[in-house]
Amino acid sequence: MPEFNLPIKGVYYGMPVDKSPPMTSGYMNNIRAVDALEKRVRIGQRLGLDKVYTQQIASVASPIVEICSVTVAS
Amino acid sequence: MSNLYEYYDTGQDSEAQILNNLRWYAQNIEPSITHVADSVAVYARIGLGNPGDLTVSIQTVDGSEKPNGEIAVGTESQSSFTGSLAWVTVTLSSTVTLTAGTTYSIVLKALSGDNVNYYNWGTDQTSPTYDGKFTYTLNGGSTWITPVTTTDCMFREYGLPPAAPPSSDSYTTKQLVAIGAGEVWLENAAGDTMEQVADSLGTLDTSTFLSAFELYGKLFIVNGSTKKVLDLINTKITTADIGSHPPDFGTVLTVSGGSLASMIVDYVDSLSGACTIYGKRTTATTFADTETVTGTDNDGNSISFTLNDDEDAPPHYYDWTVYGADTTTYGSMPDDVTLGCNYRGRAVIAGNPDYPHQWYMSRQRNPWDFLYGANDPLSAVAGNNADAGEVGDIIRALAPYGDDFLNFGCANSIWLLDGDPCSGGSIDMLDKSTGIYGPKAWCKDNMGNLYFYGTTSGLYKMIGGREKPVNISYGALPNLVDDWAAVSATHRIVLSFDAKKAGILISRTTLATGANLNFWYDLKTEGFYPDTYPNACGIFSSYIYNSHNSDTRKLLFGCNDGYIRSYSDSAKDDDSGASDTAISSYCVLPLIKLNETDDAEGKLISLTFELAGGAASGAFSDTDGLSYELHVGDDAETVLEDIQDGATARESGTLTGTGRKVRIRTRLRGRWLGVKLYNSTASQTWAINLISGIIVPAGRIK
Repeated sequence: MPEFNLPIKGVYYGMPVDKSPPMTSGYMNNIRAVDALEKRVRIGQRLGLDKVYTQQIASVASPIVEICSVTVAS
Repeated sequence: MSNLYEYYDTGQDSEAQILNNLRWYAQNIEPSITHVADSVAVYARIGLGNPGDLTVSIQTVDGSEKPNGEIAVGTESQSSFTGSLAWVTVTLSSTVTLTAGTTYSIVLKALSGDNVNYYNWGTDQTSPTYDGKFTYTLNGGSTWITPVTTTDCMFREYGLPPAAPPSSDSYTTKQLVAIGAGEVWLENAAGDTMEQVADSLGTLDTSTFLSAFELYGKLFIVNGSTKKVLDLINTKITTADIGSHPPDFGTVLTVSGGSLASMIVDYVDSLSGACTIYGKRTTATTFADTETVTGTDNDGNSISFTLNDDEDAPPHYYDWTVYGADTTTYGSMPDDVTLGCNYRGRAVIAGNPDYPHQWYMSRQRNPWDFLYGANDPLSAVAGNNADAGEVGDIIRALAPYGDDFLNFGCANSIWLLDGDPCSGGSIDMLDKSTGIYGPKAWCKDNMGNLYFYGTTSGLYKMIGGREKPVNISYGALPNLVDDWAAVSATHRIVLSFDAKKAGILISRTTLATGANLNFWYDLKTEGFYPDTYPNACGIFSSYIYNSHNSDTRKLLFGCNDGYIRSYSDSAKDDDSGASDTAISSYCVLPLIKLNETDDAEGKLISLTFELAGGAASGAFSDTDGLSYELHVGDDAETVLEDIQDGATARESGTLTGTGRKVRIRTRLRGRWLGVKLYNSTASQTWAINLISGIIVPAGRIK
């Protein structure tokens, strides 16, 4: 029984739909080739975003425009 | 094998006699080395009769250095002793750690003895030289005489070194800094909480572009006309009068009396009158109010001033000016800049709207010196003062590569500064076919390749950061620039390299709303994967945080709603503030031609799915369910269009559980087959291993 290709090479809009490169898709969203469960190259939903710190930066909801770090000797 | 630690075993000239059940003798010791005691040898004999076992204990002492509690004990049979003084080793039943510099007492007693059955312990009562004390009790330890130095008993105390864990590899710590709504927030020392830097409240204008960079334990922030320093390394001291000879950069200041504190001066905010001095304190002792601080400046002049407050420990937040605000000696910084980075130990700034082609660099190793063109290779330098010269385009991004070279991403071109502009460096144009969209529209991978969103046609890659840029998105995403229609006044583009996930996230976020369009570029497959996130998660900044805390050692995103987020291995939804948002994920498999003959159809008669996870539970993580739709049509484009338009599928279903699913029997006839997989259910994620089917010829297209 033949296997159908999974679109592990993402989307491809650069050629006619019937001539797109193998393993590409014409339509996808929130998908990764490396799946969220085992980090294997197959196809699956992307990981979700989660807070790293519970604190909201700034007193009001406002975009974080810069992140960086400072290193000091301990 | 035990080592001999504390001992006094010469000079015996007398005996402590009648050591029995009530009369106990004790020799205090103070180990010079921390160790684990396991035995004690005593120079003793049977004084009279049959005193029974000899008990040797090690005890702690009270404030009067009298024994007050056993911490280790051992007993030795009477048979080990004779009527003559001899060394007998008593093994402690359990070992005990004795700490250097702490006083303990070795206590001997014979609990079965009495006044006619006792031991004697050899002593030196003439000229004892062991630096301990001797004491005894006549009532079985209820009270002890005041310890004296006129007697030392003969003893040898044995043990082993304490188990020594290896030193930590870490001698640095990192603290994350995030900026939003005009405030600076700093990660606490534990690395698990972000805290507001109180002095920063309202000091920054985030409606003007802002960038920050680390240099010498400090964070330098440029935000238009505002320039700030977040200082995590220096101690701050103040004086009402710095005197006639202020300290120079690098001057050592000391307190000659009192605290004896010392520091190496980094920055002062004034060279006369009241002054705040920031420096790296090199002593454990701290600077205190009213102390006189002295030193010698670079010209040999004596420095002396009086502190008017106790020192303040870092962090500190203050204006970034030239040293002592002395523009005559240390030059002038541009009034208005929005770009900054660290290159070769120099603070590099650019983005001056009145002089947009210009770049400025501080003196090497001294971010407080902007006196351009001084005659030495470490001098501060600017484009118009260097042989390298200015770049001929408006600078929009700075991408430094260690000490080697610095890329200037400009509005219409890419330039590269090779080496140091004060020491033979040169600036060359790398490419004039595209510029870099904005200050955050670039990133580097862990091979040193530079990726950027170009001003002309999408994503570019520069091998090693210095090869001519090559467009890598045009083939797969030919309409990317038009589709995104990014305008710098209304959109921010951020490129973020994720080392753990081996890919680059390219984000276009609407400034006003956080609405976003994104592509994940996978470095393994070299494919592009479109993403969307809740507006709350719209990405305005990102940072690869090489934290000392493994929980936060990841790619971080600065989001629209003021939270720092990252991809979470356990998150099946997107956190969107107070709640989670289900991820709507879908993909269409490469369209399947059901018959190789152009004018003929095929028929799908069987379809089999194998979902991820193997057997339920087990070693491999289990997928949640997913749904599928089957569409057929006479041409591929129509099939894909139907799927995108949400046309009713010819067949559909939902798969649950893991592993191979029961074969789906179908009679779908057509020329092209489209298979859509999807899931938009909260708290679910999915992965699939394979899909297979049986297709048979079905005759001519009708």
